[in-house]
Amino acid sequence: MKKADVILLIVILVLGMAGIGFYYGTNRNASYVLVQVDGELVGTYDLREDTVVTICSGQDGENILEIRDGKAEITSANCPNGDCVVHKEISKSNESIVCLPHKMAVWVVTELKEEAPDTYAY
Amino acid sequence: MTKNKKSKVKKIAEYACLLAFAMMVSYVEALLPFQLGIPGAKLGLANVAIVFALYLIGARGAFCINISRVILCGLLFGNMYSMLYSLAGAIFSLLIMIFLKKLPGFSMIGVSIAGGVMHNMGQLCIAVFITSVPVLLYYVPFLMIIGAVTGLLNGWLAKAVCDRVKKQIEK
Repeated sequence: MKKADVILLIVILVLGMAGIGFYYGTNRNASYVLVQVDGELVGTYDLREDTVVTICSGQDGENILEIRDGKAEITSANCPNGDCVVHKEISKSNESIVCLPHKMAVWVVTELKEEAPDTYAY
Repeated sequence: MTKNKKSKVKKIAEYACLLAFAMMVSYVEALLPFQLGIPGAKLGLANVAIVFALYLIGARGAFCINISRVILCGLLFGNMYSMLYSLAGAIFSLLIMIFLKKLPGFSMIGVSIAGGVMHNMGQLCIAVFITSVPVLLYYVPFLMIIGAVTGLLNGWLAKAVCDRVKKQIEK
């Protein structure tokens, strides 16, 4: 390993650590779950209300979203990889779960923004 | 003429061996039940073969092998979606590796570290592009660190392979 390699590694690790510090420094307990399919917001749920939702996407894409004890989690899905199911439950702002094959994303926020009235549709 | 022909045959054999090597490690990796906590993050062992190819046969050869590997492995073990996804990572990482290899002072390990990080960044870009969820950008620091660590391991492995094999091939 040469000097330049070590410098590169240290720079990347320091930047990464700083980023992670920022991530944990700014995340807060979230109150709402937003669900998006193919770039469009399709649902908003309250994290305090336990519920199970089936998120449909595309032709026959299905992800089961479960909200329990203030945490949101994908419990099952029919996508090829199942990365979204493997993902741990989310409850802090900045956290998200994504299912790329279904172009589906679930993330949590601390409060709903006024300028997006669509978020109240559900 | 004969010499020229011979070197062409040698080149074909080398490319084929390297492609087989790259596909083999991809397959072995697919067999490993190994999760790094963040979904989708993995060791990327195939990069050992790509870094090795980059040093052995140069940028163009490594590019050909990498693209062929992604397409073939996608057809064999993945699907259209995973293929597109690895293609993005493969191209991002190879471009930075080719660039870094040209700069003085970097060894195989540094090149591999940069490749690992950029591979993850490339995939994240595609993910943000496909889903248009900006919160995903919070993954950047995690993916940087994972990319650097896996790149370090892969680079070290590639160097070990290179040291042993290069003498044999150059005979």
